[in-house]
Amino acid sequence: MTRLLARILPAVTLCAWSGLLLYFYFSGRIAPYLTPTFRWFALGAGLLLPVVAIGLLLSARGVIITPEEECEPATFGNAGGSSLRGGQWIAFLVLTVPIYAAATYTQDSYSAATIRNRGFVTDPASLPSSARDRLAAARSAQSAAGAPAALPGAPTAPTTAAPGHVPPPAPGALPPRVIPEPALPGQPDSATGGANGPIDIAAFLPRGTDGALVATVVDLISIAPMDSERPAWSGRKFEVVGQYLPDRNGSKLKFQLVRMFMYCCASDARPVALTVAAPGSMDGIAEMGWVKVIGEAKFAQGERGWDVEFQAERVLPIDPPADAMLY
Amino acid sequence: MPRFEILPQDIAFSFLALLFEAIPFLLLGSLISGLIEAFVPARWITRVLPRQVFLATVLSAFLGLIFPMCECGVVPVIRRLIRKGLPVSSAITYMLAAPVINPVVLFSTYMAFSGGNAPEIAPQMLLFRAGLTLLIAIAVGLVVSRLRPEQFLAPEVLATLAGPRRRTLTRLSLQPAGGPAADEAPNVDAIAQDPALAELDRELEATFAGKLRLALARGAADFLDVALYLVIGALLTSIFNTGVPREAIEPFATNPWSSTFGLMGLAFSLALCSTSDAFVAATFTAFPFASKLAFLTLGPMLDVKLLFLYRLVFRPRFIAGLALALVLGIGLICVRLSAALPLAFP
Repeated sequence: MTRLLARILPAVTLCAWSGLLLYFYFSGRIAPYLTPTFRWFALGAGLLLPVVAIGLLLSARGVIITPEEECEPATFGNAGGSSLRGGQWIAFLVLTVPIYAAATYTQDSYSAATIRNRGFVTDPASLPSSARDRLAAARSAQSAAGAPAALPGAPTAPTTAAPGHVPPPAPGALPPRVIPEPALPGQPDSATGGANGPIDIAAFLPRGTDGALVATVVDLISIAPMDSERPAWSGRKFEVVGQYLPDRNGSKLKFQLVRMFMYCCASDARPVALTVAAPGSMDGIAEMGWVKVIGEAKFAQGERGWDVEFQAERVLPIDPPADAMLY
Repeated sequence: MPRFEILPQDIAFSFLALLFEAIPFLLLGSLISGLIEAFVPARWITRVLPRQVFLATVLSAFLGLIFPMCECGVVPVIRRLIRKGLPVSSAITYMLAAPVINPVVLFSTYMAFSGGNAPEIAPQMLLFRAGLTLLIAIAVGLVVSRLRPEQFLAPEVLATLAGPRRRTLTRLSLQPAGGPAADEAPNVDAIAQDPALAELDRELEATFAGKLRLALARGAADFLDVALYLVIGALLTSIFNTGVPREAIEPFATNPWSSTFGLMGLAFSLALCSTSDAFVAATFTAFPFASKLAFLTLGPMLDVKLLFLYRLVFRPRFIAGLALALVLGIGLICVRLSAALPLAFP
């Protein structure tokens, strides 16, 4: 019986790991753990592990054992024909208990304490290039078409702008505008859609249900140091989604709207935070709860350069988005 | 004063993320290890390497360009290659260099530093990271080529080298340093003529299905062996990763010594994958170029989880010596770089 277990237990371990990977993948719980590319790798591993387990079981009969491997000490994965020993039970427990305990304990996100521990990425130059890439793509499209163009990768909203189409301003929102910028010698005039001109943000950012432009935390922080773009964003009404993090010093006047940016997995994720002036009491909002903040963006020069000052008009609790992390 | 808080749910989150990221690569490495065992004749390995130890070691440092491996996956591969007769110096050089000297990591290093305030440092970081990694990996390989296998190989690995092959390796390692034959690698021929290896090759001339079954079995065994250490390492890493505030390391940025060794300590404790560590390093804007270089060079060679994974191949005393040598070697070079190039690399 113990000899049989010695052969079966490693295969059971492989299947247990496979089951966990496949469960996380197909339930969608894997999203906050890995970037989309790495999720495919996890799926591949989840599908391959049972095949490997079968290989391990088959090896119990008929596999070539070289003379050198006969003297190889038996390990958990290479039990040979020996009986199950205490060390193999311990190995089995180490390989299964922590991972299943973690799957039970995890809340699929970090707490406020850990997010603060990780330190906010405040330098726009260290931010992910997604916002700058989108701006560059829009500028290129705008330059090519001679008209504002929609951006790939813009945040989704119920109303989205079609490429090349400038949507009418919603009630209460400022009309779309292009801030003319003096053209440098040898460069096309930005006011006529030049490659170096500001982007008509109303053309590429979708509008939320109440007419505010839907931007990301990364968008706003990335824009702050850009002299040519900042005026077009200043004073505009935006809708931004993130997690509510109360001020560390207990101030009721401001809070931070946090998004986590991930490079490969949640272990390397760094928080990006927008400081928001609170519209009033935030008592009803749970710490690290997902919120939609609607308000006005302004920019002011601080000690380290230009900072965003976001004045919230409304803060609404929402369900977590499908992709809680930014990539 | 930074607060150290350890929250089980955050440790669990970070732990699972590390495992989910590492398992596919570990599995890939283990399966490659199994395929090597089943399909690659031992003679082939000894024939393709240059005869000279120095050339063989240098060549091994670049093998990652053809056979890219991450730091987790490379451990089972080199364990199998050592069993197959690859000189240990070449195996260690490949193990230390491959996680950086591969197309994916070189590209990600360039991309990570090309988006910041000073994109002109991206090619410099790429060249310095590759150069320092190669230098350290080759140096360690050459030092190891002068040691006896009993001094550094784990007994489990040594046991598989029993018989003529072990005697060959031992005899070769005992050659006097600097002697007329010291720079040559007669082990290539010796191993190729090893009757035990010839027997092994004959046994592998089985059916394709038999070889495939052997590959799966050996791959599975390697995967489970390494996974055991990965779980322990990932658990410790998660505790550091979530409980230690980053602001605790910021005071270290003030001088070259503390910034270099501070970031190396962080690289050791965070145990980031080499494909993503450059993106994290790029966010340490307060730290000088050379300190980030130390972070990027040490991390793929030595971290909490690797410390456990290396136990599969090496003796604890050797691992301790290797760790010390890597920390001092990389640290001192980077401190020196900091002093030599303060203006070029602020």
